[in-house]
Amino acid sequence: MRRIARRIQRRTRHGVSARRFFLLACGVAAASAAAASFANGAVPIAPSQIAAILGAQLGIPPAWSFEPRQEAVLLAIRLPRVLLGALTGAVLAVAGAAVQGLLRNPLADPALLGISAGAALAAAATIVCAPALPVAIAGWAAWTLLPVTAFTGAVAATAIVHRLANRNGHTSVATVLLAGIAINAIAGAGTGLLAHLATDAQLRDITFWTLGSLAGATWPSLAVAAPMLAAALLLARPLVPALDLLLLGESEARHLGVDVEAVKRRIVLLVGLGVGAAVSITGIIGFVGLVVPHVVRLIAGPAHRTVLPASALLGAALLLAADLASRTAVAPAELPIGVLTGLIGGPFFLWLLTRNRAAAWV
Amino acid sequence: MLEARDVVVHAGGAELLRGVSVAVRPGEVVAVIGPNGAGKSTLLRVLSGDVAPRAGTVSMDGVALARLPILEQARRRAVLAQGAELTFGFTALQVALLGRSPHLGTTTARRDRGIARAALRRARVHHLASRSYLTLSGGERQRVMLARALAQIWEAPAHGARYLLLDEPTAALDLAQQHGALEVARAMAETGTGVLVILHDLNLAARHARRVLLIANGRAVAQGTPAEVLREAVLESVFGIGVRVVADPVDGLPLVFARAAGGDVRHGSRLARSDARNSLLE
Repeated sequence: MRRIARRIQRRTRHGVSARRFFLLACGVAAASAAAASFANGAVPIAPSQIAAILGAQLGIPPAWSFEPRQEAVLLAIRLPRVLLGALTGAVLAVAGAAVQGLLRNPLADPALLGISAGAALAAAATIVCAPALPVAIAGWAAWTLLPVTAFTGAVAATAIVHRLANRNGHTSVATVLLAGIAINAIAGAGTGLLAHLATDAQLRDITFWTLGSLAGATWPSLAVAAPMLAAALLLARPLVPALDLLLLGESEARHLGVDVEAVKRRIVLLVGLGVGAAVSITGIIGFVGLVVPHVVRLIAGPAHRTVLPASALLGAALLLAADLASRTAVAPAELPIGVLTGLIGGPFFLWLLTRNRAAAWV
Repeated sequence: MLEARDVVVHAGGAELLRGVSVAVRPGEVVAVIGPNGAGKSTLLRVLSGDVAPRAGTVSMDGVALARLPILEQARRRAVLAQGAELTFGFTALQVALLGRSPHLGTTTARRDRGIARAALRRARVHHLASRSYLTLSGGERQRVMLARALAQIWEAPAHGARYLLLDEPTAALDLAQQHGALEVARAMAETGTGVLVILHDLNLAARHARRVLLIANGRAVAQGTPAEVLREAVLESVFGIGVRVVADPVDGLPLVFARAAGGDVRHGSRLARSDARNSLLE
């Protein structure tokens, strides 16, 4: 990997084309993961049949035959699942890159910092307490309630970590991680307490949040979450120059014309919005936000012009691949996706720690 | 003119600055000297807009700093703070290019790259352009950061003048590089930039600055040409150590030596204090 990284970095320095090439490769990875997710599962669908089914929806007469069952599976189950997986993976990776930039700390990750746990706590509180409200919540209100509370929890956790870790414009790596551990513990305890109070059906829902899965993807849930996820990605775009400058330090960024407080607010908003919306449907999915921006920086360097779009594409690819593995490895049962990202991310994280003991951060 | 007038700064119950005034005029180098903890860096932070003074005014070209947008300030004033840290592997050229970001949209990418390269050349780190910042030595990093500051104010702004604030830019540099860095600052001044530089080495200050400001205990003790400020009595009272000042036999600039501290020196410094007060009144 290091050799490839060096080659791409060398080419990147000498022209724009290498950057385009790398982004294209990330795009191909995401598209391949999506195609594989469409095709594989309990009901296999050939690529030609996928094209035919999607074409039929647009009014193009199908050139290949397919069964109605395949059409139903693709349109009602796999399509929303792949869309949710791609958006969630992209948002988690971009949120990870943004938080790492904000804290100037490559170890930051929405799950590690307790942001996902904060969202899960708020989601669990909603699951348990909503039925106890005097007003019955039904229809759209019920669908939107969970994403909104999860968003609130995520924003609160982000703001707390940032406030705790930042003293006079300096961010301590140790404080960031310790604050994350504390918030994870507090939110975990709260979620545990709520699980204790919950009915059996609620308990099942809460367990689902803490393990993470894309199985909750349906068109109605996607209709609520997708705009929030897309908004988070759009909010990240204009942050590119500011994130580069923030790596120099907050006062340095200010000296270079960045309204640091406004940028911070924007990052907290995008992370809360994105992670909150993702967690409200998929539960906690760890390590995507940590691993993906790291891999991108290893290959293409730390400039956010490349890091943000490449992270979005690779995050989508990674989450789709993990989801595919989670539902095909022990079919017909499903592994929680958090187990898989943890299996990949955990060892990678340990490798980063040992690697970086001697050298500085990528 | 970048000007602080009678600024008072408090932090955590301590008075860091107690009414200091300094004016940085386009075309001149002002050196700020003084003991550790005297308030030199605080003064620089006031001029760079990081710290809002409790009393007094700060202005750039006649406009109060608080009323100038951050971006507008960044187009005219570059700051090289102490211990700027970067833990991500940008190349030296990318670091220099970061200095161009206040001008995004007003120039072309190609022009910015040209300026970044020229700034690296001026700071004598052009050969490191494609090296990762993380693999550079302390002195090389400092010069790359200097190049970033130079790139930021490489061209004269549409209105107003340019200012360069340097906090101990020579700390990690060897003898030749120390003078090299300050010659770069002087060259910037010659093209119409107002430069304020914090220095610990009094001889560097004497050699490269047109005016010297001596700060102690948050107060301006003396201000003037190097020859006016770098006087034995003043320095002894401020630094509390025996000092000898002689004229350079070649160019006549003051040369400062520390004498070994002894009983008579302490005695001398007590006598010198009244001299220092007199120089304050001048």
